[in-house]
Amino acid sequence: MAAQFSYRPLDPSRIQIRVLQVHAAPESSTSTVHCTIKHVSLLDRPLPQYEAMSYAWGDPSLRCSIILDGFPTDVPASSEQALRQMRMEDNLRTIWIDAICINQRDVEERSQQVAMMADIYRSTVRVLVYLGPPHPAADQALQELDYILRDMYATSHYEQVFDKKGFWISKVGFLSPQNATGGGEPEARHVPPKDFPALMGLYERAWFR
Amino acid sequence: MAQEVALAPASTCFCGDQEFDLIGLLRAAVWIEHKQHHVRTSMLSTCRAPSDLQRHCDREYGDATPEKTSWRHFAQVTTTTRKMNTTDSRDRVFAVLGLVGLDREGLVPTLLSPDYTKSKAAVYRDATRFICEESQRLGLLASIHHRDQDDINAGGFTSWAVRWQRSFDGNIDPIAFPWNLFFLYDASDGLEWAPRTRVEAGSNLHYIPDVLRVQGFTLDKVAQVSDALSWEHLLNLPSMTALLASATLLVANARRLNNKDSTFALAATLVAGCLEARASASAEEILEASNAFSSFLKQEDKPPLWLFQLDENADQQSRAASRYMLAMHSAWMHRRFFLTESGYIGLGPKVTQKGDVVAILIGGPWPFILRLCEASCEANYQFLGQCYVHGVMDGEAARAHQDGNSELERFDLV
Repeated sequence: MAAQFSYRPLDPSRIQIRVLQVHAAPESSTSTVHCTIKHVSLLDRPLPQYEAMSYAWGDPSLRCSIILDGFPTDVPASSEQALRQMRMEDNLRTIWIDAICINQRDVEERSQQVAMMADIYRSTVRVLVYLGPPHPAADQALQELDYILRDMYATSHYEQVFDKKGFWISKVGFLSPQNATGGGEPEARHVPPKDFPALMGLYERAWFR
Repeated sequence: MAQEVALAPASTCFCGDQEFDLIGLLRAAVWIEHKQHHVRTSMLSTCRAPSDLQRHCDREYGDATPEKTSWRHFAQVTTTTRKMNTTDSRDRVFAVLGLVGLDREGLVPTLLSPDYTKSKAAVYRDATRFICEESQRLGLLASIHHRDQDDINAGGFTSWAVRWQRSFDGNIDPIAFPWNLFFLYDASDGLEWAPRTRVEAGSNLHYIPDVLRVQGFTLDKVAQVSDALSWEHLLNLPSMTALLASATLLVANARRLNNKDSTFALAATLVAGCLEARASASAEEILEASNAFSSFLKQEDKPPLWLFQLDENADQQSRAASRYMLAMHSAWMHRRFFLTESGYIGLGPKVTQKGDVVAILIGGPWPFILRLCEASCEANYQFLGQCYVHGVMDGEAARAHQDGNSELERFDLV
């Protein structure tokens, strides 16, 4: 049997996690994704630098192969696509991605890592949200978004609301027109002039579901 | 997804090579939702998930920031994240712990700690218990909608456990009322909570895992129910008229109401007391909208248009009729109109039957419908769901009960 990739154990007392160093590849290259695994500790200062991947898991039975520490390894197809999109042309990119950085077959490790998840996201440089393959009308979506945000910031305010006992604190009316007297129908002049089809297309991506 | 983006210092979306700032993207969905009466309903359902995310992820304008959040927020978060995908449905509970700050300040409460050896039914049951007992409020239970009689305890679930694995299905599930406004009602106002089964982190079990023990009193028993409102009624005038007539007939039998009161009672009950999401309505507004709706049905041969279908020149009357229909759709859809033995009227879950108990429970913003389990000699009840009962939503019955120094009953929900 060919040699295969195997996870080395993590040290939970050191709040250790695995991160991937995703190897560089030319833009839209179809070559296999190569990664090296590193163990880092969230107790280290300065904090280890990594970006955390967020993506829709999709159908777990769809599999793809990537090279992990030199060994071809079977991973969920959705995680492979996300890594492929994020790899850089000329540099290593350090990424934490749950499907690969957590040994999903080790129930004990999985429970430990899931309990640490909040710290993993708090310590990240930023989250990379992979919405999926290119949007056919991405430019239009940007324009629609720009239109909405402009109108929104020009006409909105917000307030805080509490119940009688101070429970269920909620900020509501963040987008109420300033001249509204609470409740009531929004004014006709705020009718959006179009249907924002490109933006709706983005919202329908699996990541939001 | 909520946890990732709420905790991280920044988030960027990638769609092919195009980049979007996530928070801007989410705020735009809230803006569209705010225009609910002027956009297609299909856009509203599309915007629902991103707008829910905004509440959790937007540090500036969202509901709560990770620094400020707690178990209270946990209830809100798990309720909205149920619509999102997870590969392992137990993660709907486990993965949001960090989001609400529960992983800090020591240990994750025993009831909630990630344990992949527990069944989904047990994980959801324990999370529901934790939220209700820690918050001493039963608001979370509003998100439980049994789809039919067999569903109440299906799949090893206790009737009172939130089905986080299930996404909302507008063809079967009612909208929790009053439409996002958690704090509009307080049916149990005046009753003090005396927790009996508080569970401390790390303590030994001193409660039965499948039983949620709550206190309150029986307001009444259901005497008659109407059909549940469905799309069929909203699109077809004769069936809508017939359904309204059946509700009117029940009201005529309501001994508590005289003729004058009954018109308003019916108008208010069919919309669960509010005309618009996130706002209360005055009696005059409700009556006005309801009258406009009734005259519309008499004059026209079809139901009113939806608000977004009206053009800008539509008159005040048709606008009010459409507004009432939308409110009625939000409140009555997939719920039954009911009359109790002593003459209360209300809206209850689809599974409500004659003989079910209308109970005011401590910590419950609304009354609830319960069903006594036949086979038990204990006070075991199935939890059926929240309900609207006209005239008790602001704690009127609870204060009367308190003033009368009446004893509280124990209800063991199973």
